Amino acid sequence: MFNLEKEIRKWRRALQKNASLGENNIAELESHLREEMARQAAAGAGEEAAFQAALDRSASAEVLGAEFGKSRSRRIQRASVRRPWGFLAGIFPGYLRLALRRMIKHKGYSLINVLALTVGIASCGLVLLYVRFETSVDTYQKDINRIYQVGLYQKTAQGENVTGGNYTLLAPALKELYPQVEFAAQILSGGYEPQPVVYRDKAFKEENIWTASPDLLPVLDIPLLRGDKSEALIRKNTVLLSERIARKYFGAEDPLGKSVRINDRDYEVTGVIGDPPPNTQFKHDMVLSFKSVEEEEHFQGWHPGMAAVMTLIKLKPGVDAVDFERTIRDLPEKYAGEELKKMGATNLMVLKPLKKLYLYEPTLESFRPSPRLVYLYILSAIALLIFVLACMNFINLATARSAGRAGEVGVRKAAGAERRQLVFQFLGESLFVAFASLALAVILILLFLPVFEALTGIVLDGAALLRPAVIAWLVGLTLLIGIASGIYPALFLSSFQPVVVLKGRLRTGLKGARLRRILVVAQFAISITLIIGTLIIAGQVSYMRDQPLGFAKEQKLVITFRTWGMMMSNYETVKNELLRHPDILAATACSGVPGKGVNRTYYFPTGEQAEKGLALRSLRADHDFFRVFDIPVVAGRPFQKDIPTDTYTALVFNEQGVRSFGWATPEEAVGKTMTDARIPVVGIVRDFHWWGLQRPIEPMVVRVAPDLFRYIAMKINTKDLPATIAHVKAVYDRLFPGEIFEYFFVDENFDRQYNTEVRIGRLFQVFTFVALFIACLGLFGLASFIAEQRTKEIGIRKTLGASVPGIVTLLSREFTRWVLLANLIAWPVAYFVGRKWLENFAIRMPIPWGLFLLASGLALAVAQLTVSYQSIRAATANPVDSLRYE
Amino acid sequence: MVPKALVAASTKPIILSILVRGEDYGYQIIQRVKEISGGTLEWSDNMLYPVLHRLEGDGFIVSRWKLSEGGRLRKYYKLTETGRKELETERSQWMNVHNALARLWELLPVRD
Repeated sequence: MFNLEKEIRKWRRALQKNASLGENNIAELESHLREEMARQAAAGAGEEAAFQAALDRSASAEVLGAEFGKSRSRRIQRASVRRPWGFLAGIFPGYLRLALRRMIKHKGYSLINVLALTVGIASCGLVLLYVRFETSVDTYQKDINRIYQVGLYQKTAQGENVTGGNYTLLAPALKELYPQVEFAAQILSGGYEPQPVVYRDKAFKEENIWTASPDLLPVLDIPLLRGDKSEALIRKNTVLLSERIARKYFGAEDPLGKSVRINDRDYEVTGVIGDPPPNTQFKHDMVLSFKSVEEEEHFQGWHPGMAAVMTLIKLKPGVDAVDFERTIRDLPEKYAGEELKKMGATNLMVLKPLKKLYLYEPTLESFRPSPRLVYLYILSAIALLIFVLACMNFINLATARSAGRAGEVGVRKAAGAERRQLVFQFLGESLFVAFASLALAVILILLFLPVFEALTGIVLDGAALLRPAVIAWLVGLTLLIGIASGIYPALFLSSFQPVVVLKGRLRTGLKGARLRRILVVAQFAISITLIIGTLIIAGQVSYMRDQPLGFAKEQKLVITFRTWGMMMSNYETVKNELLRHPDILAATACSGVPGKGVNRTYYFPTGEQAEKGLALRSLRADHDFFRVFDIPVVAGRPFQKDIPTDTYTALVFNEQGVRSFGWATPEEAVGKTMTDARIPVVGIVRDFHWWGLQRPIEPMVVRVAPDLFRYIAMKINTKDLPATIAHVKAVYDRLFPGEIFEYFFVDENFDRQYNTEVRIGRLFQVFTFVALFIACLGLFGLASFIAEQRTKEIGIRKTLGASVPGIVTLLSREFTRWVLLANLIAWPVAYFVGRKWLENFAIRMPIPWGLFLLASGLALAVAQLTVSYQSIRAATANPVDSLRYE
Repeated sequence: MVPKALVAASTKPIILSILVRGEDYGYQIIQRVKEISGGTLEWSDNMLYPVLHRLEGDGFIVSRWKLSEGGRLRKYYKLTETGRKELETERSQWMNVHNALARLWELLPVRD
């Protein structure tokens, strides 16, 4: 029996198979069919005949589908062309949800990606903060372009140099003679040794005590918070306190007019100035008036060689600094011409802009130790490397995953998506990951700031992260990471041909494999270079520490004396009191100990022209100095107590001193006399290092003389150190009541000269670890991907009898090759850079080849460890599981 | 019979011209075209419906489902304001062609 409705349902089902026909269209076609049937029926046809006739008159399902498809695809094309901002879709919620869903689905890969990027961004951010801090020093000065330090260029027979210290009377002369100068300040920046400050019951040692003329305030725009400008730094024995110091000593009390005792002298407080900001090189906690010291003899007149006063000037607006420098160049000629001529020396004035003083002028004795520009560069370079590593990781994993996404690309393209849309979608995803990492990185930076401070001693302000400039940098950086690491995968993935992809397996492995190999090799090359760098730095530091210095630095306790006057002829008494303790083996009074500052004095052989002389590092010490420091005498004799002339007039040179005066042997030097006073050279000691090994050994003279002593150095037995120190303190307190007892150990103090190297070494360690970590993350991701790809192969191998160790070796072999190749690249680079860095030192460690092997072994071990987890997991899997779904 | 290309070109003005007289549904449109052309234009459903949908997509016509008195469900199409303007454009274009041809042919000798 013919059932019309059943037939129509069948007809509809045929149409429904056609995707381009919607339910709505089919309903309309059915309506059409029924109209035709009604017409046929009206003409007298039976139900079945009418249906057949109607069917004959309408088109088949295929034809209809094709016709409707035509009209639809035209509309899709048109719609997609008009969307220039289509890439924004990559960030819009729909895609975001897609990206999130994908990240959650592939937790492992997402974690690796985000982790690596987070660490990368955090490293960059941290270095950014550091660079920002260093480059922002003093830039808050609104007149920074008009502020200059007047440096002193000196040329003598021994060479030339530029110092920050200049003639005492330069500043007033400049102000008086040249209308171009608005302000000129004389400054003595303290800070070499802390000095005691006492107000009633409060007594502390303070470090940053300056002495300056009144112009200091206008030159550096230091705000005077309390007190009268016409009183500030004008009178003798007056002082300005920073807000912090005023609070520390006076609390709520009004400090104005009160008297504080600074270094045994009373000063009247005439004002309170603003605290110096953290990013300044001018750390002035207390400023004494220059008038207070002016009368001292060495601040009188224009004497070459007496240049110790810093001169800071502010030029009037519009004055050309180059012109002005030319004008004042020869100023010393005018005031000290005679004396300079006698010495055969040239003195010139040079202007050093404040803008460059902090970072670029290591030759000028800056107001505080400047971090070397080199370290800024090194840190920036490392941050850049880590940044590149993180990007490489991203590219690596994204292309490795491409096979998994090929299907998606195919379907989307078949559905009419344009390539550009896909590129934007993938870019959007990588940007999303990058910004998620940025958020984590900010947290990481804040957590790491205290660690950074502990490692480097540099205090960074976390709040600086909120500054617009820093935010702009970080966001820009993140954008760059997102785009840089997303663009290649985006272009790569979107280039798939839908036909190829949808038809079967796309052999993406082959195309991407070479790039991945290159990236992994590059990552490990960078890591290995950093490892070698770390080892070289650590090696050089310990090499310098262990290097024989020519004197024994261990087990030397030193007590310091605040002034020269504290211990003159009574030094023997002090020594004898100290030596009562059995663990104090020997003691010597001296004007300096190795690692601390030592002056130069001018010496010339008796009878020669004074110009033939040399400014030698010159130390004053008593008879026991060489014995305490175990410095051997190579010719003549050491100072002796029983020889009466050995109380004032006897000199001992080091070997370098002998050489610099042109004497052939130490023996020849013994018996020579120096200067017009005919001071005899009684002995020559073996060369010893006074400074750290960055500097070569200088010519040096030791004079026996019971004055200018600043230290007593003791050779001690460290058996019971606390008891020994307690004894020393007791002696000191008894003999010098009211003074503050201070001591240090020679080795500790000496090694402090390597602080910069130690710090940079620590930073290198941290960043090397970070780099290796990122490289391993990438390797881990790749290894798991490859293991996954080869699951079936491994299954077949196992069923055919391969052993687990055999398969682990098989999987690891490839990675091992890559890491070995990375070594070949890293070695020459590391060697070259390492040599370059070592040139900074007078004494260099030879770079041992073992170090390279160590670094390579380390990298290889870490790589193996990373890969082995995946390899072992793949190798121990049951082949039944991996082959079942075949 | 009319060649395919010409049919395709004329579908749009013809549909618009029919609908300017009032709402109509697909089957009826085909019938009217046949009537008016004296049987020389016979449209098929596979040609008409896609065109109707395209015109709807372009916004010249709108559609709605209506239940006829006989209880049959039909999809009716109606001209929109844009469609009316589009028809005017089409009309002037076709008239240009028509006038040109008409003048040309007036001058030719008619062979019987």
